[in-house]
Amino acid sequence: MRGVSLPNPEVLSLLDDKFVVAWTNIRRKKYVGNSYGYGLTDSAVGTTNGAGAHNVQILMLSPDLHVLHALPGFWHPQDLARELRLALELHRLWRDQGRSPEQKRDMYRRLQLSAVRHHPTETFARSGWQGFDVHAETTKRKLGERDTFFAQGRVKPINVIVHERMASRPFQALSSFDIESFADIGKKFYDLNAQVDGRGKPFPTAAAAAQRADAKLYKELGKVMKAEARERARLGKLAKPAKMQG
Amino acid sequence: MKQLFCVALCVALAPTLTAQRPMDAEDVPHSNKSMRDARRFQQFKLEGRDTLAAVRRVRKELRWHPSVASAQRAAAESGRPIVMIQALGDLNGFC
Repeated sequence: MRGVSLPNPEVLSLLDDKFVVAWTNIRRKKYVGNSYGYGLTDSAVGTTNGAGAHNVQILMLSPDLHVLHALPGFWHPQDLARELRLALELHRLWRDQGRSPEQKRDMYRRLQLSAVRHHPTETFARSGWQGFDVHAETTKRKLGERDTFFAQGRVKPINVIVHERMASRPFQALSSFDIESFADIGKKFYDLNAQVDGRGKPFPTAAAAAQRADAKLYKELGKVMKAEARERARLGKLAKPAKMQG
Repeated sequence: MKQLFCVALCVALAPTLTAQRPMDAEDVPHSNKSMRDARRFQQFKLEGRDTLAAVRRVRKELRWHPSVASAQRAAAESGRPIVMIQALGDLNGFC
C-alpha cells in the first residue's frame, strides 16, 4: 500500500488537497490479521483489491468521526482514487443541511450500490479472489451464511462485497463501526513479500491473536462437522430398513 | 397519452431502480484483456531502492497524523474529511 498505491500522483494529490491523513498501527487490536513486517528497503508488490483485508483498513471519516466509506486491504491506485472521490461525495451528502438523517442514509445506500455498478471491467478484474482466500471463505461458509457468495454459489468480486457491506452501514459512528466484521474476508494471514524478500520481521502479538481466532474457527467447524456426521449416520440408519423392505 | 407517460416514467426510473438492487453473478462484467492486465499487475514488483523513494515521497508530501484524535482536530479546523489508514505496521518502519 505505502510503496505502490499511496505514491500514485492522483492518489497523493487527492489526499493532499482534499483530506486530512492519519496512520495508526493496529498490531494490538483483537481484529488484526497476521503477516511479517518488511522494511523500507524491501520490495513492494502488486496484488488484488482487498488482499490482506485483516492487516490493512482504509477508513474515510467525517470530521465528527462518522464512517463515510471504508476499504479493507490493498487497493490498486486507480481504484483507490475512485473510492476517495466517492468518499468526498458522501461527505458532501453528510454535511447537507437540507436533508433529514433518514433521507441521507437512504441516499447513502443508493450511492454505494450504484457506485459499484459503474465500476469499469478492469476494477472487477482487479477485485478477484486468490485461491487460499476462497478456500478460507468456503470453510467459513460451513459455519453460517456468508455475504461473500452470490446466490448461484460463486464468490462475489471484492469490490461488490465492500460496497454492499458499506451500503448496510450508512454513516455509522466510528465508535460503533464493527471493523472486524467489515474486514472479514478470506484468511487472517497474508504475506506476499515472503516469496520475494524472504520472511520479514514477525509481529508476535498479532500472530498470537490470529492463532487464537483460527483455533476458535476450527473448533466451531469441528462441532459443525461432527453434527453433520451424526445426522448422516442417523439418516443412514433410517434408510436401511426402507431398503430391506424394498 | 397516459400510456406514453407511463412508458417514459418507467424508462426514466429503470437505471435508478436497477442501481438499488444488489448485483447478481450475471451483472459482473468480464473481459479477457482486463483479466490479463490484472494478472500482470499482480506480478508487478518495486525494487527496494524505489520503495524507499516512494515511501519518502508519501511521508514528505503529506502531513500524517499519528492518531484519530490529532486528525480529528485538524479536520475540525479545515472542514476536510479524514483518511485513516490502519495497518499492521508503521508507515516509516516495518509494515
